[in-house]
Amino acid sequence: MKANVIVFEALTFILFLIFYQGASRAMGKARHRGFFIGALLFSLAIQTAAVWGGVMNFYWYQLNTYYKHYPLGGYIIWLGLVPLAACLIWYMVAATCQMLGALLLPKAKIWSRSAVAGAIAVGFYALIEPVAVTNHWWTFNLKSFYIIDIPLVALFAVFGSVFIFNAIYELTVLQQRDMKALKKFEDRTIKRIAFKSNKYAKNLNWTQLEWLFLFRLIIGLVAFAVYITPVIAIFWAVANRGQIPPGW
Amino acid sequence: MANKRIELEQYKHYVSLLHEEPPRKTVRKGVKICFIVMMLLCLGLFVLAVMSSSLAQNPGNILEKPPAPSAAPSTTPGTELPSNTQQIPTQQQIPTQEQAPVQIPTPGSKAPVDNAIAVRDTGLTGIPVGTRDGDLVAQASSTSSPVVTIPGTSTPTGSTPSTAPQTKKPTATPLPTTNKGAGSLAKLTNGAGGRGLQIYVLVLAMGLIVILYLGMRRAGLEGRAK
Repeated sequence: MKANVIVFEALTFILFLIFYQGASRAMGKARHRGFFIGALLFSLAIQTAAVWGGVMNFYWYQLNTYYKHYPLGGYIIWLGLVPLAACLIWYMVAATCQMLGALLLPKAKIWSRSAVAGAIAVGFYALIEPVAVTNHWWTFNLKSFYIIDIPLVALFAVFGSVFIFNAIYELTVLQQRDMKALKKFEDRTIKRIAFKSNKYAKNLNWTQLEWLFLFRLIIGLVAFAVYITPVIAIFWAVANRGQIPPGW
Repeated sequence: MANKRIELEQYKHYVSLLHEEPPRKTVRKGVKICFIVMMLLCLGLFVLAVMSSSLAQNPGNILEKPPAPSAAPSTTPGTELPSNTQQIPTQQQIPTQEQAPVQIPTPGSKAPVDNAIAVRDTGLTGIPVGTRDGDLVAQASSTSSPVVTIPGTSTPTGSTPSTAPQTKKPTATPLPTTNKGAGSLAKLTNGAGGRGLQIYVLVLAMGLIVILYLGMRRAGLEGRAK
């Protein structure tokens, strides 16, 4: 028997609708909206880059001529190269891990909480990935070491992405902190251009804070690229060769 | 007022009540809803893993390549093949000249090879209705679906390469095209009496559910302590 992707997609959409309501209550409507939009864009950017780079693909269900063979078809909603369901899963996992980190370690530092959140996210993806890869919901084409057919790089990427996203969310939205290393850069860019002032984050209004959050997510994407590039390079150098020859 | 301040201080780690001030019960309920949804997701994934365990037992499944768009057949409704036919590996997985498909017509074949390939592309099976024994169609079908050799694994079920003995290249040596650890999901699945994957997913799902339960319990305790 095969678990068609439509089953996964339908399950994701139904659970997402309920989860969204719950998270709106737990985080507060405005904050949760910011979290949701940020998570969607952040995961979309990373997964799109992965598809562009040939690391990950949704090829099996991208081909209309192919997935018509399935009695129920393939992914329904796409955000460019990435199905919406893949981004929603990432959002649900990231939000859950953020709440869990905050609940289980309320007095820990932001970085520790974010690291715990990232570790829990790896647990979730260790559950999702084998089922996904088996059923070709998505597949990897990466020169790396594989554990139960999941490239280790993918697990590193899940940890890094959730860690960075949650750290930025807590720093910006929950604690409204300024980072010394970024203060000058933010003063010269977003605060000067968009806000016309050099206010501290805690003195910004909510709309400005949302924009600052999105701006920091872009910096977070750069940080993620800096983090994951050596990981990919190391595994690329050590592992044999691509699991599947490139070019398809 | 002091109690309110303490309460705000304790909750600010994950919810800033200073701005939106959702009622404490609402926050707790929201957290519970989210965690229950994630528990259901874990259970759903367990069910999906059980559903797909037969697929995971095939080591070639993970390494196979989807068919090219041009090879997609225009099957009429009702003639679709069962899902296990998707596990037939295609030739593009086999790089280097060592694994290049060999298309040598046997004595007696009449149609050119190109025609044979074209006929093969008319269906997923590659064997159109009405072909007889000895037709070139069967040979073209067999030579263009070679076997992916994975170290320590065998030919995937569902693929029946019937290359003529004189044209068959030795494929006993493992190909260097696989990564370390590739195909290990099938090993896991085939372990523990064929229930390795199910046990793995069950253990992982239970672990995550326990963590979620601990979070839910912590949220409840915080609420009760107020």
